[in-house]
Amino acid sequence: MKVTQLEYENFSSSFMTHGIDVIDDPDTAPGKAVYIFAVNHRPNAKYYGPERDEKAHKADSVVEVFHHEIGKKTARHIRTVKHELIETPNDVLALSPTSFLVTNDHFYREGTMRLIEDLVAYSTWSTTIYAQFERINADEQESDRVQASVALRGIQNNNGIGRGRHENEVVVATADGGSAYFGQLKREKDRVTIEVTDEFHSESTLDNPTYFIDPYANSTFDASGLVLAGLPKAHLLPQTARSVEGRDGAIVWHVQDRRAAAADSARGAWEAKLLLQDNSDNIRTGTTALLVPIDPAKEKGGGRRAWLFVTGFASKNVLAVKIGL
Amino acid sequence: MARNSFLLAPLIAVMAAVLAGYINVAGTYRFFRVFGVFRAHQSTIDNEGLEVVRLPETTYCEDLHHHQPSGLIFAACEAKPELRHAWFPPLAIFDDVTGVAEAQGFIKTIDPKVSSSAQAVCYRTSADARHRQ
Repeated sequence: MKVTQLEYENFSSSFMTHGIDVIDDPDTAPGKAVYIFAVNHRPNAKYYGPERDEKAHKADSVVEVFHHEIGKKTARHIRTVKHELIETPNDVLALSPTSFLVTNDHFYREGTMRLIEDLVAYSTWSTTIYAQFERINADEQESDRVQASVALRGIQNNNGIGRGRHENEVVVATADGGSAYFGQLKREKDRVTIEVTDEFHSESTLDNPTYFIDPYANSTFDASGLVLAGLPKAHLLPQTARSVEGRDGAIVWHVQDRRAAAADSARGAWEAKLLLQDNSDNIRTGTTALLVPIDPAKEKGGGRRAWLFVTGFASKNVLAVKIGL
Repeated sequence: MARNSFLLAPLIAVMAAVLAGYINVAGTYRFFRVFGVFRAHQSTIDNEGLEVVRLPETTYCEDLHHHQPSGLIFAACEAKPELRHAWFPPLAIFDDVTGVAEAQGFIKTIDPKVSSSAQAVCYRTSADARHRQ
């Protein structure tokens, strides 16, 4: 498994990474080039600069957009997308080369109200934002030519966002609530909203959801389902988060709809299976997990197996674990 | 007797709060379950002897995306791990911003195809990994 670092073109800004998404460049053949959307938590110059504004926020978080040609080792920076509605961005989901959904994971950035927002399930103050933008000229500002609107309200701690079972479905996961919400995209002229139609409640905190579509599914076995990573003992995070040597562990769930084929209910009968749990001996923190299937024809002894890629905000390495489906 | 009467008043207060709806018992219990208060630590990787590949130079990558048309996995990773523990807005950590403005995190691609070239360290269990180190 080869790892390649992309060198940036036209990008020298500080870059404290978080969520990322990738979408095919529609102007090239499929798989030849992509647009990369990445959350960037920059220190706010208004707060940390020489003329300190104590009332300014400490972070000036934005979304960076890059273009990358597959096979090359560079990523060309297209623009920074800044908008007042993008406040505490966590994860991003690209809808087109010029539009995306981004989750604001909290309304309060720190302090007692932030703690309340984390602990109280009724603190449904965070949002998911729809943003669309145009290319800007060198003399324009990061916030120029950006339109944004609220796509989703009413969920505590909008954290990770990912694609669902089909093109018009997204999944928003809440870390504090340990829930995943399935939503249908409602597209209007200049805005997109998310209508929640189903939900799943897990036994752990969650983070960035991914949906695995099983290419080897047949009439007797289909491993398609939601893959959700989280922390097995999140209550310890306040003690470990500031320590490089801290131990947090990771947990990954595989969630499938066990609804009967003939069922007419619009809501799924979600069943979770534990794919992996670790105590930090192998991986510290779990924020994203995804499955890459192994061709059963090439697997010794047959059987359905896959590589489970797991990573976290404090993982020393991305881990690939060979598991049975 | 004195100890029993000392605990009685707080106990009555909690029961009254529960009955009045100020404390949602079911919600509180779910909070403890989701945050893993009752969960025992374990490693299914070690328990089941799973085959593991530790990908090099993929430090503190919070998110992954599998780009199906190319087969590549894209990761957003941090430049200097120690910075994340000192300044990371998503966890409301604003202790020390020193070095953050100059740091530039990485975007990495991962080719998930397993090849014979020694690009990654493979091991069976965490015990094997510690032995190799």
